Order: sequence, then structure tokens, then C-alpha cells
Amino acid sequence: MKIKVDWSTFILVGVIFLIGLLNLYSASYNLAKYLVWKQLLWFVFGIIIGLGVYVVGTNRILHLAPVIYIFSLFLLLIVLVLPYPGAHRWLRFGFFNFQPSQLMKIALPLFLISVFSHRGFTTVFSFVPPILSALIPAILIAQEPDLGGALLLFIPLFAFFLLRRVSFKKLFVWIFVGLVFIPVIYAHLQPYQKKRLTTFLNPHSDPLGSGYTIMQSKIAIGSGGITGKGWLRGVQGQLRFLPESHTDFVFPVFAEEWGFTGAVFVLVLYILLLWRLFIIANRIKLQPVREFLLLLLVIFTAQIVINLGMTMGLLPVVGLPLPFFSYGGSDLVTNVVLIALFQGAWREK
Amino acid sequence: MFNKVYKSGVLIAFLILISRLFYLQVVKGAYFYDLSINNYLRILPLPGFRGNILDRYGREIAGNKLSFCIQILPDKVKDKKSVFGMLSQDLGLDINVLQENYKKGFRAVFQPVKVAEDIPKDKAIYLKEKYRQVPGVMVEEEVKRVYPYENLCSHVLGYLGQLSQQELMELKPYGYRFHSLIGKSGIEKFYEPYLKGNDGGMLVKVDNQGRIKDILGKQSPTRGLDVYLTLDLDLQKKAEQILGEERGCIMVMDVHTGELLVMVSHPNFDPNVFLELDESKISHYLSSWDHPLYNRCIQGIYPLGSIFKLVTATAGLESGALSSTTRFKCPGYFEFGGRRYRCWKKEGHGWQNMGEAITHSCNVYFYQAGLKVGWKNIISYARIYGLGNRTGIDLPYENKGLLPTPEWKLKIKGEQWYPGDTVNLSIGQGYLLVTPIQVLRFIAVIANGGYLVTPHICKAISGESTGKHLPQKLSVKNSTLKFLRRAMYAVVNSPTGTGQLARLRGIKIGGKTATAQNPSGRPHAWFVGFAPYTDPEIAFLFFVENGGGGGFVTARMAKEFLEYYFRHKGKEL
Repeated sequence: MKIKVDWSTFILVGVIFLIGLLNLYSASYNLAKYLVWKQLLWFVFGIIIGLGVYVVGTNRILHLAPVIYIFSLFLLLIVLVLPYPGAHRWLRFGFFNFQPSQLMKIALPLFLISVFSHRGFTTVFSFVPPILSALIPAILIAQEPDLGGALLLFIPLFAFFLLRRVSFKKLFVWIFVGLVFIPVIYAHLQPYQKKRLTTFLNPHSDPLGSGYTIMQSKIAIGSGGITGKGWLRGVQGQLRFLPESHTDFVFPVFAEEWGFTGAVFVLVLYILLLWRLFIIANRIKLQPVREFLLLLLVIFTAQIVINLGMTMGLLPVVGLPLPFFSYGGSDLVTNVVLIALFQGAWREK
Repeated sequence: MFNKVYKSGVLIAFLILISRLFYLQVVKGAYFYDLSINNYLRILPLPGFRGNILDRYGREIAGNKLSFCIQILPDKVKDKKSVFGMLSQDLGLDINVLQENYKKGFRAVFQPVKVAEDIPKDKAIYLKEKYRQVPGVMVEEEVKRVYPYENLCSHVLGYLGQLSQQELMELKPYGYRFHSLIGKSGIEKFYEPYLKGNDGGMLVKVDNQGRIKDILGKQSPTRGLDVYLTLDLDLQKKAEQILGEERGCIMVMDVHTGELLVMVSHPNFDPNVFLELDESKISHYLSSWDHPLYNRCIQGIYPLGSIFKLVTATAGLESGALSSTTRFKCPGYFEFGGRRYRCWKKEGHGWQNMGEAITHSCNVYFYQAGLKVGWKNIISYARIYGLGNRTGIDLPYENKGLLPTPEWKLKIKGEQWYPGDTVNLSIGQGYLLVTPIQVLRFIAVIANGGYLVTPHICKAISGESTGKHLPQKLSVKNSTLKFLRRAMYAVVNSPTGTGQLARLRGIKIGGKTATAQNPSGRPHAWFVGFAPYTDPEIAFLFFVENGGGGGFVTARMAKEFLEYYFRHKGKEL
């Protein structure tokens, strides 16, 4: 077997992950220092799975798309019916938990590309099958409840239609239908989710409730100034004014301690990584593989942008982690696998 | 097409993100930095506490005690109802009382609110443990002013209250804060700058639960200075017991120094009430018809009656208009200006000299004497004796009383001064109004040989004597004063004297009764005097509002008190 990898992707991911670990150490300093080791363990686990994916090859995985998609849907159903208290996001296996919605982030692009690629989207109704294939898992994920994870699925769907060069007019018909349904969706939201949205529109409306997180996040980022307060010196994170400072709001911890300089450095690393992945995807000659990678890239990009935007108070708090930075096993493994899929395709080129 | 959209999308998104970072961290960096400091820095006030107030022998009349209270941090208590329910069970208090206290005490979400206080120590320790896990409920220690004798000396001590809005504005530079207590009356008010301790504070770093993580700085609070009073607690207790439930006052003063050994005013109040959360008792004090907060010794203004005859006599003797042998006849009444002025004795006293007239407290004698002496002389000697002026006692709200003059009458009443006004004035009736403390000092002048002392009630502050009260020698002849002393001796000791009820076995005293007619009902009863007769050391004053004629009530009180005084003094020496 020929071994071929893109080293610059590896280095970029490695650097981002190491900085993330360093930051996680600070974010979890007063919480649970072992989180760093757990995160590292998840990374290793992700590499093992990623190696498997690499060996199997992206092209072959594409052929398994319907199976993987159905399996992911099945897991999403399972997770909803299992009698856990609280949110139904995880499959719990004792020592580790798995979030099926993460698997869906890969399964949906896979399914879209392999099943609908050769169809023509000439009529308005021909849009329905791809839309349903995103809507069904989105509804299931929204039930967990995980609004961010659910909404995220519409991004590869949109990208897929862009790739198919569908007529904008017809696409807009469906976007319009979606907009009409927003009030219906809003009505079915959990009270805390509604509150997140209203406080996004006016963060001062409830400074001790859900607006608190946005406010504290902005304070954390802003108080970092140009040079930051120094590693382990961030007050917002260390004194736990900032909720979820090791998961969704891990970036403010970094921005507080490393300032504008550090924050921009990390942003540049992400841009470089995205650029590199974009180049890799475009160099793949095989159209379905190339398009699959592009959809993955769109999801990956969206997650980064939404997380950062949310911590900076530009977007509502929807609860998406920052890839390679936030603590969280399923997400980390998924992201490593995503990189492996790129590398796998690179090898097959 | 897809690639173009993706590339420009990523570019725009990251440009927005970086400019947002620039805005938050560079443009508004200082602002958010301040906010983050406000997040974790708190100044915890460490209240200073007041100095003690002690009697002349160092016995504590006002002190401090350590007490425990429950405070609620509004922004940390999520479910107020269940927290109050829990507290109500643990404290045995009605939940409505707690909620009411919370509502009343609430200032801002980050300011602790006291909802219960005076929790016993054992319970406080138990609660502290129990509520450790309940965010926003704090069991705090506080140093509280306490008046162990409750109502005793209340008018001298005064009471504490929270700063008014106006006081807060003025006193902020002196370290007073919103909830600061300040002396509102009595010694607590007059010596506030000495008694007040300075608040300290702790600069602390807190986490999101308000738990202290680090102490960054500390300024220790200080304790105020101790104030030693001239009062003798034993005598004070006895005097309060003697006055009983009467409305009135009792004072005893050292005639040479002006030190008050006793100052009792009744009805009185319990100054502890003002430190409790229960406001119904306070409003009772404020609205009660008999004005319990009012120190009758220095704030009350009353007609003086016959005691004023001593002033008329002085004016006659000093001006030369009269001599001690000048005689007038008393047929029981005096016809003047078409009016009949009565003596208290219907059948009259007959011919009398001045000494006899004082002994019998004859009105008719002094009507005629007064007319002869003239209002000018009478008023002028009254003023020399300190009537109509504040004595300068070291207590707030002292009243001036009123010495009427023709100018005053014209200005206030719009009428001219009639000779009949002089007739009334010469026996201490009419427009004349005095405070008991003025009268006491006037008696002290007679007793000490002509020295106008400044009455005072603070002996020393924190060991340093406050002895700056130099008596002023008055231009009254010794012979005059000696004559008055002798007359006052006769009041008590002559078989025809009006003050015989005060006569003591073994110790000679001088005294004078007075029955002051007034518009509020029965006449006020006065008895003043000095003891011992030779080489007097104390002057005393007994006064009962609406106590009835003849000064019987008060003379009896004087006797009981003086017996105790001399027994007590023997023991002390």
C-alpha cells in the first residue's frame, strides 16, 4: 500500500491541537485537571479510527454511504429512546460516551453525494429527497435537544445544491418555505433555547440568566487586550465567571490569556488549515470524492465560524464546540476522522 | 461557482471575526478589563464599633456585643421562596416576616440584605454549617450596640439610627456609609465623633459564587473612644425608682463643678429598640402623647412658680430696693389695677419680712416686692442667674426657655407690658418659661456662693478629663446668697415652712417648693434645694408634671432620695 500524506495539514492540526491542550489545561485548571489527559486519550483514539479510515480509503467509504447514513439515523433514534435523565445526546458506554449527531456530520455529506449526485434538480419537487435526508436527522437531533447540531446539517445541504448548480429561483423557493416554518420551529423550542435567542438580540435583558454567558464571554475576550493576561492568569476562566469555559466557551479563555495577538494567531492557523484542506479537496480528480470532501470542509468551516462568532456575541449561543480546541471526545474523534478522510483521498489521488 | 462562494464566504467570515476581536480587545479592551476587575474584586466593609459609655466609676451603660445575623445576597439566591421557607423553619420565624425584612432591606442585587438577627451563637454555628452549600445565604457576625440597662439613663445616652439622606451627603467624607448608624440624640449624638469607630475594609478576590479566593488588602477597623459620664449609676437607679411612673424629672448636680450625678427624665425609652428591625415600637415612641423620647431635663419648658421668688428677692436685695427686713402685709390677696391677685393661703400670712415670705412662699409679699423692684431688675437678675439662656450642657437639643420683657411682649404678643405682668412675673408665673436644668444651675449658684457652673455629663473621654468647665463668678453679694440659703433652710426646717416633708434626720438641707400653674391641668410640682446646708456639695431638682399643689409629691421624693444619697455616700467613702 502506498503511503502518502499531506504533511502541512498534519502540522497545522498538530499545532492547533497542542495550543488547544495548553489552553484546556488552563480552562480546566480549577475544574478538573484530568480533562487534559482525557482529551489526549480521545485524540489517540481518534487517530486509531482515522488510521482505519485512511487504510480503507475515502472512495470505498463513499460506497458504504447508505449503510452509514441509515446506521447513523438508527443511532439518533436509539439515543432518543434510551431512558437517560436530561439531554439525550450521548450513547453511554460506561467509560466513554458517544454523540451520534457527530457521526451524522460525516454521514449526511456522504449520503448526499453518493445518492443524489447524478440526479437532475429540474423541478421544485426534485429538491425534496435531499432536503428530507437532512431534515429527518436534524429533527431527531433537535429533539435531544441540540439546536446547534441540528441547524449545522442544513449547511452541507445548501452547499450540495450549490455544487449541483441548481437554479437559484428554485432553491429560494425552499429557503422561503424554511423561513415560513421558523415560527413553528421557535414554538417547539425549549424555554432555555428561546431565551438564548432573545438574549442574543438583547444581552442586557437578563444579565444573570442566559445573557450572562454572552456578557462574561465578551468580558473575557475583551479584557485580554492586545497581549493578554498570561497563561493561567485569566480571571474569567480561572474564577469560573465564564460558564462552559472548557467546552463551547474555550476560545474566550484563550483570548483572555493571550490577547488579540494570540487570538489572531489561532485564527490564522485555522485559516491556513481551511485553505490547505480546500486545496486538497480541489486536487482530487474523482468528482464524488472531491465533492464529499468539500461538503465536509463546509461543515468544518461552519462549526469554527459559528463557535467563534457565538463567543464574540455575533451569533446566538447554539452550543457548538470549536474543533481541536474544545473539550469533547465525540467531536474530537469526528474531527480527526474528518482529517483522515482528506488524507485518505489524498493517498488515492 | 461553489469554490468562489466558499472562498469569499470564508474570507468575509474571518474578516468579520478578526475585526470583532479587534473591537473587543483593542478598542474596548480597557473597558472590558475594568469589567473583569469588577467581576472579581470586592470591598468587604469591616465595621468599626463604637466606644463604650460608662458611669463615673467605670460601670458600662452602653457597650457592644457580638451578634449573629442572616444575610441574603439577592443575585445569588435563585429560588427565594424555598430559601425563605427553609430559613423560616430553622429560625422559627414567620416566612412573611423574613420576606418583609428582605423587601425593606433590599438596596441592590449585589448588596447583602439582613433578614434575621440576634441569632444565638450555638444556632448560628449550626446554621453556618447547614447553609454552607446554599449560595447567597450567609450567617454573619456583627458587632451591635447594646444598652444593658435598657430604659435606665436613656435620655442621657440617646439612641442610634440610620443616616438620613441629608446626613449621608454631608458625612460621606467622614467614612459614613449608606447603612451607617449615627447618634440621633443624647451622648450618642453629642459625642458622636469620639464614640464612632472607623470602618475598615478588606479587598478580596471572589469567584462566581462570591466565595473569597484571596485577600488582597486589609484595613483594620478601629474602635471608638470610651466616654465616661459624671453620672453615678447607683444614684441614677434610685432616682428612676423614686420618680416611678410620674411624668417629670430628677437631677442632682455637684454645685462646684457642674457635674451631673443624676439625670432622670420620665417617661423614658429603651434605646435597644432602635437597633432592632421591629419598627412598630419605634413609631410608638415617636407618636406617643407623653413624648418618651423627650428629655424633660433640658428640652422641657415649664412655668417655674414660687422658686422664682428667690430671683425677685435677689433683685430686691442687690438693687437696694428692698432689704431683708422689708415688710409687707398679706391679707390673702392683693388688689392691683382693678384685679385681685391671690395668695395660695386664703386667710393670708399677715405682716412678714422677706425671709418669712420665702419660708411661707407668700405670693402677696412678692407681688408688692416685685412692683417695688421693677421688671427690669427682676429680668436682669434672672438673666444673671442663667435663666432664659442655654446652660451649655453637653447634650443636644437643649431649650432656651423664655424670659419675657416688654420688647418681647410687644413683638410677639403685640401688647404693651402692664404692671400686672410684673406682678405675675415676681412669683414666677405669666409668660416665664424655664428648663429644669436652668433652675438646677440657679440653685447651685446660691449653694456655691455665686459661681455659675456649666452643667455637664461627660467626665472624661478615654481617660482624658474634659475639665474645661470653669465656673463664672457672678456679681451677686455673698450676703444676699447667704440670706437665700438661710431662707431655704427655713423652708425645710421651720415649723411653718412649705418644704417640711423633705426634712431629714441628721443632715441639714435647704430647699424651695413651687406650684406652677399651667394650662395643661393640675399645677406642676417642683422641689429644688441643696445639701448639706453648711458647705453644700450638691444641688437637686425634683419635678413632676401636673404633680399638684404645694410641692408635696416632689418634697417627699427629695427626702427619700437624699436619705439614700447620704447612706450611699457613707458607704462609698
